[in-house]
Amino acid sequence: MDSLVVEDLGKRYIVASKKAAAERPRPTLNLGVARLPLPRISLPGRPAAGNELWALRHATFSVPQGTLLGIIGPNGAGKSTLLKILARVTRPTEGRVTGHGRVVSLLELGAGFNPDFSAHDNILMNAAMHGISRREALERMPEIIEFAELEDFTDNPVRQYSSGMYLRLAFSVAINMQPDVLLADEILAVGDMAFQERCLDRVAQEAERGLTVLFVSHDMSAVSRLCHRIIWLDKGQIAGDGEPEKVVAEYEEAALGKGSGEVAFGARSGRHANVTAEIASVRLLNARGEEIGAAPTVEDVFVRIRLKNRKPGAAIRGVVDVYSKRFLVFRSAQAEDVVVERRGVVDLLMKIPAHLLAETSYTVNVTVYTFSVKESKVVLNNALTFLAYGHDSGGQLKRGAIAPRLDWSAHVHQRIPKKRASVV
Amino acid sequence: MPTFINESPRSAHPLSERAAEWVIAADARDRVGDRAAEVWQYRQILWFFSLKALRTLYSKTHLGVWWIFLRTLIPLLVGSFVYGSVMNIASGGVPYLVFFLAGQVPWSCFDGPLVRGSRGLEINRQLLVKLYVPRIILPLGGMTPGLVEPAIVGVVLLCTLAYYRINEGIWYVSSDPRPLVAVAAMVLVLAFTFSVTLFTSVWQARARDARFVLRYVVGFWVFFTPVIYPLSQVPAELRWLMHLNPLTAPVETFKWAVLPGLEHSWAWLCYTAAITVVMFLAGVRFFMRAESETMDKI
Repeated sequence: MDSLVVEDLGKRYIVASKKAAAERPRPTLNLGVARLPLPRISLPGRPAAGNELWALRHATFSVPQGTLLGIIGPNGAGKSTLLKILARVTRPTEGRVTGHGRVVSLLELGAGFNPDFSAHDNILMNAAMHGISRREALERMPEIIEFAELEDFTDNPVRQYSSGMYLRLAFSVAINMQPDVLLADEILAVGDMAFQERCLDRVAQEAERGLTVLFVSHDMSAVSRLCHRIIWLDKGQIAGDGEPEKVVAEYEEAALGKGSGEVAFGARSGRHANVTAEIASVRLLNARGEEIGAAPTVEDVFVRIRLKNRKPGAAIRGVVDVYSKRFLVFRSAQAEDVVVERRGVVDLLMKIPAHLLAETSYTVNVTVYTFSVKESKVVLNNALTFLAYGHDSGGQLKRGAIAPRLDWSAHVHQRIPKKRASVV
Repeated sequence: MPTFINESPRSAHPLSERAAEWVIAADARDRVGDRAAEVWQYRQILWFFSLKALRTLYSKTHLGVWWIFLRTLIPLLVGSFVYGSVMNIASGGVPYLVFFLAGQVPWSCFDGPLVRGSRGLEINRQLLVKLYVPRIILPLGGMTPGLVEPAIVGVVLLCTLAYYRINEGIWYVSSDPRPLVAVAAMVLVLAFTFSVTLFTSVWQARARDARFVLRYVVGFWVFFTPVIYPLSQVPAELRWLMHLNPLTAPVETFKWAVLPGLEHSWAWLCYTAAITVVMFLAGVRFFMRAESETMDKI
């Protein structure tokens, strides 16, 4: 039996754009008398003028019960949109989904939790938000608390919880609600390893009993290890569907071949220009200065920030924040200001040494301080997204947000060394 | 890949029988009956949203819940002083304070709940883009903390009445079952308010302008409703105009029900009830049509 049958599913968003709005005649408040010199106020309630954007289109697939389905793709490929439609958070523009049984979604850690409530109350509330009765939630309470290992903290408000505890609670509630379909967006990204393993074991166990899970993840090694099948989305379309190893290999090949680490639509933000400077581009380069789309972890790579300097004598300093799965992995700032004597193009290069990055995807936010005007800066968020890949498959040996090669040594002693009494 | 058959371990799963089929379709038309059943299924979240709305209202304040009392009592004191003692507004034979409070109870069933209920979608924005719940519950959940104010004003009214009973030996409330009508009038005001929030909560989720507009409208509306003055003060030929305001009749009825020597009109009360039904139906229709589009914009 199929848990989900998705037929020609599509979601269109209208991205507001001033240009498109200007080209389109607007309904106005001046009562049809076009010549009256009244300000034109556009009336609410009409679809805003803008560019159409199909976040997802022509998606057709079916998922047999008990499948662990991974969904991969670059940012803005439509993965989250697909999950949001299935979770009924947003309505599709076209197509339909037929499903069976209870759907529980974990689209964001802590959605449907209230930080001021205790774990006990949050479990009841979360159950209620999935339309599950209080009686059923109370029946499952002991299992939920036990699986989340929160026996001693049930009465504390969850705002006092660590993010790991939060994750444990959220996951435990979701899995113990006995869903038939579980929707999970990037839940593998946080939490301690031991609990992640337990989650995945439990998911695999439940799948044997007929649970269908849709995972959205950027963690290629985790999805290919865990899932039975993978769907690769690209620009809202299904680009690949099938055996995990095969689809992941195709996806990585495509990501590497793309040439520039362009990010998806609308993701960029920040004020990227001021009177002193403008961030013209942010690119990933290899040691030969060629633009690349993905970073080999065994080689040095460079982030190049190309600036247009508008003021002679500007003092600039670049700062790069590197994120993985929405967490700041590290920030690197230039040690000193650079004084640029002339107008023109300036390239700032940041070297990321070999054997630092892990095999995962990273997003880069760029800030450049332009000290010639006090306290001013230019910012480009989500300037660059790239995947780091290794040449060997380290699996368990390469987990985490970075995988630095550190010095290890081994000392073999003849006898067990004596314990020192006072090591503080 | 495991498939579902009755002999599989899944059949031991106590919930597997309710693996009912559901459909999400772009061209599906919402049926009010299905929606009502869904709201009933999710009814428990009303309590949690109410609690949350109440807590967010006064969280991060030093005085906490005491604000509720301050915010309610101070305008009462100032209002009764200005309108009663300074401006000497007629009060139909009862002390102005009593008259004023009797107007404030039904009015506070509209004022606070409208402003709060209109924020229902807006304040839960973070949640709504990540988790599906029947959104129509949210304006209702936002409204409920607004019930605290009429309750407090009601208690103040009772205390004031008791004060006159003890000190002056006069008990203004009639002994027939008339005061029960007062409760019905309050329920009618609340129903009307909810119908209005079905519109305003959507507007406010789309644009915060609605919030400012609402403040203004409510601020003026009180003067076009016989809250601080009796309707008998209004010239007879203009009273029908006052009655077009759907809040006039319930406020008048409330005062008639608890205080002696006043008049009210059953016919205009029926008019308000009819308006409420129409507003409610139109509101549900509007909300159902607008919600999915609004969810994509917030």
